[in-house]
Amino acid sequence: MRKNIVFYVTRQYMKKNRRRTFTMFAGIVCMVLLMTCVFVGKETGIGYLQEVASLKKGKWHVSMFDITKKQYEEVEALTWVKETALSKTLGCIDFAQSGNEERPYLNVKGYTSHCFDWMNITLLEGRLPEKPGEIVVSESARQDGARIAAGDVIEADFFTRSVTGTDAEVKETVFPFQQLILHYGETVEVPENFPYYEETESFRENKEYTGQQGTYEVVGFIETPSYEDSSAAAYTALTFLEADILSEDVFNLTLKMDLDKVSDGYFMDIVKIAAGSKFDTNDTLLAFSGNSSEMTLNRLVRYMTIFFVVLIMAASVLLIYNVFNMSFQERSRYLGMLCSVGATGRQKKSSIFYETFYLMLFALPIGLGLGIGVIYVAMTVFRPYIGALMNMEEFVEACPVTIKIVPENLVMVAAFSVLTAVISAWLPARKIGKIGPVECIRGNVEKKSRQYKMSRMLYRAKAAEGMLARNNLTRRSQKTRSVQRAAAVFLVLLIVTAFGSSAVSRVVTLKLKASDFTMKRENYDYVMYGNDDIIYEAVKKEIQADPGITQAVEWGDLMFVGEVPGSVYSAEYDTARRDIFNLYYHRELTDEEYEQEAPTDSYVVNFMMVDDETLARMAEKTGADKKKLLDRERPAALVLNEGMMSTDSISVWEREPERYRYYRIHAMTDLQAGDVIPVSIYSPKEEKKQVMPLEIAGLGSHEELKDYVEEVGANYLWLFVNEGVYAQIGKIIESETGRYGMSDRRLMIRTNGEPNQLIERVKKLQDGNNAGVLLSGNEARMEFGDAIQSIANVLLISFVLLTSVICLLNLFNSVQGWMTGSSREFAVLKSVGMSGGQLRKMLLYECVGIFARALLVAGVFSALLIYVIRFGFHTLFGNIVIWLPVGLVAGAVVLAGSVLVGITLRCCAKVQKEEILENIRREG
Amino acid sequence: MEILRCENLSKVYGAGDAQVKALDDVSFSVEAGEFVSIVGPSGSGKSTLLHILGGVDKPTGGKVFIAGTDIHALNENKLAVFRRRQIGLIYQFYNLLPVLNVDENIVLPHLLDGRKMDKERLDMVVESMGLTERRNNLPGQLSGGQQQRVSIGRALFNHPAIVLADEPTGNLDRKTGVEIIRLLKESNRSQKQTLILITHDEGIALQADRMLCIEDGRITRDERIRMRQSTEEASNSGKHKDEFNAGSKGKDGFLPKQNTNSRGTAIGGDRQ
Ligand SMILES: Nc1ncnc2c1ncn2[C@@H]1O[C@H](COP(=O)(O)OP(=O)(O)O)[C@@H](O)[C@H]1O
Ligand SMILES: [Mg+2]
Repeated sequence: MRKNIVFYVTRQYMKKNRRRTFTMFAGIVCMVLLMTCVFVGKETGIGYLQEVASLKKGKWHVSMFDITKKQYEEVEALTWVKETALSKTLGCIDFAQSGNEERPYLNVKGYTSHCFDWMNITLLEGRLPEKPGEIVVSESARQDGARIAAGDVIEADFFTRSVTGTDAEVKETVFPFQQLILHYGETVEVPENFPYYEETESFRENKEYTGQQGTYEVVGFIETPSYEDSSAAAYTALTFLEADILSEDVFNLTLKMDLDKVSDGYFMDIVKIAAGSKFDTNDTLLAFSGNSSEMTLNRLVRYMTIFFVVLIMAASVLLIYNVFNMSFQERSRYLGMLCSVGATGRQKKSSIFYETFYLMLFALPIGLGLGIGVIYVAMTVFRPYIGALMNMEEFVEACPVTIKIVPENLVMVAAFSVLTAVISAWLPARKIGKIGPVECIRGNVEKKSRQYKMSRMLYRAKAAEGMLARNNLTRRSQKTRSVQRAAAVFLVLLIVTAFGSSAVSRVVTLKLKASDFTMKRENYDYVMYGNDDIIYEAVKKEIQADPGITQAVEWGDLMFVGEVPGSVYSAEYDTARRDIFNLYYHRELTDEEYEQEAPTDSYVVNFMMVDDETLARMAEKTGADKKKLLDRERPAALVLNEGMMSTDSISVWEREPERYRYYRIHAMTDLQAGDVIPVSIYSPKEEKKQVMPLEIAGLGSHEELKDYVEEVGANYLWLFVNEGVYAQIGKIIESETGRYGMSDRRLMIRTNGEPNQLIERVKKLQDGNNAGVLLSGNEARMEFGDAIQSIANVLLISFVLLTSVICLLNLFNSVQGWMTGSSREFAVLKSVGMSGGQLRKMLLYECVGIFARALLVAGVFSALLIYVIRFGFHTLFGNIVIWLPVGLVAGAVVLAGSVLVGITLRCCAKVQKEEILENIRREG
Repeated sequence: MEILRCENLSKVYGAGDAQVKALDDVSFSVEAGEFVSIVGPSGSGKSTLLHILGGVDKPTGGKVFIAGTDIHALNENKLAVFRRRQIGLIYQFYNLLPVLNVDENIVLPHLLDGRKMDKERLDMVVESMGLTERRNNLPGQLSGGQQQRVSIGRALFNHPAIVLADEPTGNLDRKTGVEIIRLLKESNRSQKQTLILITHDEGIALQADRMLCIEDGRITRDERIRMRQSTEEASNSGKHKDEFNAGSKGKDGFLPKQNTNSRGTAIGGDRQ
């Protein structure tokens, strides 16, 4: 006897309907595959990015320079520090064998063994030092023609380098690339990368021997380390450092974090311990390591995981449901027969579940295998793309793809797949379980008694196809309903994901860039910021003189300088601000409390100075009064009237907000053009506030100023002013010790497009934390936020494509069902003389009808889902503006339509190939 | 005038051991206006023959000429056009389109031909098929006999060169069957509609002008029929007096024939 007759019969029917079973199987495999892509792909992708990122600067997270044993112990005590390694700059020695007279020294550093690995030291020849008396030398020395080989011995006499100002005429000598300012008569120690000058008219270089001596044997050569500057006087040489270094006064420390334990507070921990000494963070690596701040890749990946899983589940549920539903008639017949011989409702239901899980049993390993294959292929294919995105091509090439399989993720794949299967089988199972035996056997063929007038279309010539199509659709719509449903699901998927992607991408943008108002700078190749006025001015002069630079205009901002009465800001702004404070205090603040915690009498306004040409163009876009705006005497400003506020952009000391919330502010001020803003500015010289009446020359929205301002928004009023007004304010805030408030000038640079040596030199400056100027190119901007966003977009698109596979399968299956069900009618039509062309035309008309209905249904559902998503995003994040990507949606509609027509015609051709007779003979 | 001629038709299904010779060297011709019945045991190849004549199936060998056209030499599209203009097919299971009402089903071949709707013709056909009351109903709402009348209407609508009916009464009770045959005969009589009809019922077969017997895919008999008929009918089919083979077979045909006659006369009279 069979163990379970219900299961046996189910299996027999599965065998009988191979195509249907296969569709369902393929659907489940697809689902498992996609789940695998989500969970395993996520792990693999992030792992890979970390691997690649570590190649850029090394595998360390934080480096601290010149710290003491006490500081070291403090670092070791931090819970989030996983490992530390030590190094020390031993100093310079003469390098007699040098082949380059401008580089006559060796800069000897000692590394403990971890450091060689963490700093990406690559051995080219010989071996790494294993004891203190051994060194490896940078390949750059050999490239310059140094007469040196492995086994050579170098006698070392260490010295320190300094320079002394020797010309009384020259008050100060600026070395912009070394961030050094030398005054007459002064002697300063020079940094490692200082070039070799010997003696010049204005300064002199000194060598001071420390008395420390040693003998070093060259044991190998290493690839030039990334930190070595080609213009430096010294080549890099590395020796082995023993742990007794701790007894010495100062040394350098490099650490790796425990990424599971580290929190946002790590930076402050380091700042506290460093207490003024230099430190550096490996931002490239940290950006991909997650956990270091809220806006990292990990957070994004989590959002996307949820989004994808929901998407996949929805598509799969509908596919499986549709397959079951289409075979409902047949199933209800055989289950009815079972029922009539005594099968219970539960047994009937179990048949559906049995079928699902039977298929799942085989689909799970296959889907997992295929998924891992897809990840491998995708990683391999996308590798160069990711590299290009992050400016890390060379590292990407050096890093092979490894699939990371974590057992938890496999469990997740299985769990979500099973859950999907249960959900999709549950509805049809319930439906079937409810039907009694008699209804099952008889089938629910209801005879309608409606009368149908002959279509008026008939009176027109050549209308047979249209009339047939119309009647097929209006008089027997249930026949095409599954097609309609499949098309609608496909449409909903495409539309909703288009919207969802735009929402996710929007949130990513906001989270990554929310912190500040940003000017667009695409028109410029580089922007140079100055940390140190003197160095900035010196470099600026060189840049303006460089023939390779076609334009260099100065912009500047002044932050937290101006104050205005609370009434300048709009009521909308105040509401948002108050909400945010409520979030920080985890309750509704009373009016008094709010006033006390966040005084509303005086608010900050910020200034942005742009060159006159840009300002004039901005005035044109916004319809502002150009004349007033460009007037250098009477202060006027163009107001950026749109803004935002979020729990990221406003923080309250020592408090954590209840949750993240974003507010888009449509109008920052209720004032109009022509109104005057009384801006008070603190003058340190007069020790009181001065009021500057500033006329509003015009107001602009993000849309109007989209060529100039990133549309992320700022949480303070930004006033665009000309150079003259900027200078007036600058004068007020000036004092002997510098400026009050934050002012930041920048040089917007456009080059002639050719490689520029000067730019390259300035670029080198920004390695390290205390650069006097910072130059950022357009490509440098791509590094984090944009790269992450691009990756997110690529992922979204890939997933929409992959999920479409399930939808297509569904559509294909329903169309095939429709065609098979209609083959007899096609045969009749052909027997009364319908030509193939007419048949196709008729089907085309039917497709149009089905699609129109699907579009209607999809429109309603999409609108509903979009509303829900929007609502979700709004409650989660705030009133973010999410655009429905119209182009994408239109594309999706066209795509879905053509797919429907394509599949229909293909299936029709297949059905037509079958002999007409077979169908005519079949009994009615 | 010869309206249909087939030469050495053969049809083989399957291959090798499973080969079935459904038709084996069948040749005959039919005159315009002739009413031919085909009889034979089940599985003898009647339907196969009819489908090949109707251009919905292709013969393995041989040719079919209808109104001078070698129909199997036409390409698929031309054959479709030929079918809708020159051939009316009637099946045992009606084969109506469930989504079209009576009117629409009847007028279908005409519309497929891209011609303007002929309301008068439609009214006439609907009326002569006795479907005036039901013209707005879908096939699912009609009885078997009514459905078959719709399919006859459809077959006749375009004045085809030849109407082929495959056991049109096989699925109907006797009384309804008689009614259907009367309608077909009527069209044959009044419109000179050439008619080939397959039947198991010898009573029906004997009402034809000529009877073909098929056994194992071959024509075993081809006989002219001279029935005892009313004066009216006798004068109509006068030219086929020569061969008369009645005997016992004739007796089966009596009862229905008389039945048919009385009504046929009535309707015929109306129209003439
Ligand atoms: N598609 C087919 N494949 C194989 N054999 C067939 C097919 N159609 C009909 N036959 C065979 O051809 C023979 C003639 O069939 P048919 O013309 O339907 O007989 P009738 O209509 O006289 O009962 C039968 O033996 C039948 O089994
Ligand atoms: Mg037959």
